[in-house]
Amino acid sequence: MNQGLNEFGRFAEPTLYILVSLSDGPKHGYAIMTDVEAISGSPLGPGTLYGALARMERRGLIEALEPEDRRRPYKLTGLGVGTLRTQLEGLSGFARLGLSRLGSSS
Amino acid sequence: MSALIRLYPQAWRDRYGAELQDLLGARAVGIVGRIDLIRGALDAHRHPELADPSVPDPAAMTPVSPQRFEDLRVARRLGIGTLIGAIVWIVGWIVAANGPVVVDGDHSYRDGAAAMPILLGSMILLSAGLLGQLIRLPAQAIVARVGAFVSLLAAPIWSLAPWVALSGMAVLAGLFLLALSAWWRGAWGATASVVMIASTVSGLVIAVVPLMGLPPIVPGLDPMAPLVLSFAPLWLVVGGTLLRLPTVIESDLRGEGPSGQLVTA
Repeated sequence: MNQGLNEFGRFAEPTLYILVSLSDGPKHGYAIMTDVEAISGSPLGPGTLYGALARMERRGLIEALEPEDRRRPYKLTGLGVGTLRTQLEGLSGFARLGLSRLGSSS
Repeated sequence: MSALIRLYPQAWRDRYGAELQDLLGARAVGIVGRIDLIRGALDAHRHPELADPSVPDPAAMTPVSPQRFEDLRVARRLGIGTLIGAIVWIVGWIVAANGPVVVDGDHSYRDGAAAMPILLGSMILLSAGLLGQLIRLPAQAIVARVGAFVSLLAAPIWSLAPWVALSGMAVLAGLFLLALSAWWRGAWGATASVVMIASTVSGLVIAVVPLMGLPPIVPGLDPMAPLVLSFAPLWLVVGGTLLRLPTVIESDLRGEGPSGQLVTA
């Protein structure tokens, strides 16, 4: 069962970036932070990062793995994978529509 | 930086504190990051359920008992009355602004006495919504309930004697506390609370400016107009936050125990 990200409020956009970051394998907080910065081009604050991670864990989108030293990696759950796929397909459709209209108007 | 982590609730620190400490040790976050941490700490206090599994999720569709559902329906009816009160409030001031001009010796003034019963009615409708808030607010929202109770009592008094500034201050202070605490406890959304707080603060400023002998905020405009308009959202927020009803109530008929029963709000 997939779910939208509207209920995440201001954490919706960081959540999507974190889902993308974790899509190629588990990462801990610092690795997620640097990866999201590379993806989005803007910094992700530590308070926002952990606010989003806590919500994602609570909603079952990610799962915490055993800590490595003080760093705890997170991985996507099946629900997280499905949610990310739904979100990306929605964005892809939106981008295709926008580009086709842009192409037909120019 | 560790000091900022201490701003988070204990349960949150137990769960995420070590990771966050490690992250902050690996990288300096600067002033923007510090502000982000403070926002995160506020968010963690507002949503204790995120780090503490024993705290129920307020966003979940929690079934309510049939009695509680009936109580919320009563609160909703009171809220509808309060929404009508916003119109009554504005009508009252229109009546007051168009009262007859009375000449008294060298002075003349506009007699707005005809508006007094209308304004009293609008305040009673505001109090009705505040009573609905007392019914609806969770028991742990003590500050919000105190604020609603103070405003509930002070509002009709203020309309009977608008020159008693203390009663007006009590109404506004109570509504301010209600908005802040209801948001903090998750009973109100941020928009409703921000509108309520902005309305009370702006109304207070507009009311105080002429009393302090300062020039009017909008030259040439009757100061009552912005005052009346800035207070109108009070009715809308108090009433509007009472309208939503839960969609599931418990049904323990025939001793079958709690089960979900969809109802039409």
